[in-house]
Amino acid sequence: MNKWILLGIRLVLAAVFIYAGIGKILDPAGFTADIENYRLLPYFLSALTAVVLPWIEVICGILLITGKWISGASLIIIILNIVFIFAITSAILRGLDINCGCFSLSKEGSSVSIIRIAEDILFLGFAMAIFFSNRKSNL
Amino acid sequence: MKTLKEIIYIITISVVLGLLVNMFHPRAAALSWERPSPIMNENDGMELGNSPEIIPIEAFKDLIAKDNILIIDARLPEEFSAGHIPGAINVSFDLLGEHIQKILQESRDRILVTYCDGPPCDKSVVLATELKSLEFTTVYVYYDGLANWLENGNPLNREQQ
Repeated sequence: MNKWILLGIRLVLAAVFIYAGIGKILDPAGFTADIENYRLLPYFLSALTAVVLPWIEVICGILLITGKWISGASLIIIILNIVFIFAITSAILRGLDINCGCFSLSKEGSSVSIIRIAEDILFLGFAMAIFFSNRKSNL
Repeated sequence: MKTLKEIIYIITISVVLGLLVNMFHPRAAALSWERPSPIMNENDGMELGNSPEIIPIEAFKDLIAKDNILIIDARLPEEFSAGHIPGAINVSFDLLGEHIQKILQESRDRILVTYCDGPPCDKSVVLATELKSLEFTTVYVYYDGLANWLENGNPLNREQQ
């Protein structure tokens, strides 16, 4: 893939994850409630995820910008997006009308919906492009 | 192998930073095995006197028997239509503005009890706190909510409001 396109994808993905992460870092208690609403994890794991996950997002974003540890950062983003897609899909299938908790900085919380899944599939594609092109260039 | 190492580093740094920041965060997540009570306390900057009281099902049923009660379902209208506690009215928190005049006129001297799905749903607490701030004096929260109501073998109504 054209290296300029790849760089563009990296920067866009980095911006998205840093933005999403900072929003959640500002309000761990609120993000805990958002995760709890999915009813997938017991309380303690919801709170722990709310404390740690935003930092993973921000650090991966910064690494994508700086070009360090790209392979690890992009693989984490791939795994995270698969988890997000699974969580949102299961919430929709169970008829839960809840705030997605995707971008806590947004003033109006965005509900779980097909659009959120589509976004995550796009980010998943971006992360896979970065991960595999990075592996290829390292071989 | 290199990728795995990077992942371990990233996660370790995130755990350390996350836990450290959470220790000093004004909106810190409570890292405990049990969910903390949703009732506000002094640390939340709310006046204690303004917090609605949470009641268990027994107290809720005693209040129902007294007949001077207004049961308020804080869930969404479509959830309310699918089934609610008999006698309840629906005041989805988002719709509070539209409904409030009606409640104000009819229920000043009644006991208000709010509920929603039960933990972790906190719409009932949010609504009750709002009602308290509107100077309804007797507001309770049946926090265990619909899940607890059904577990105890109680019926639901399905008619529209």
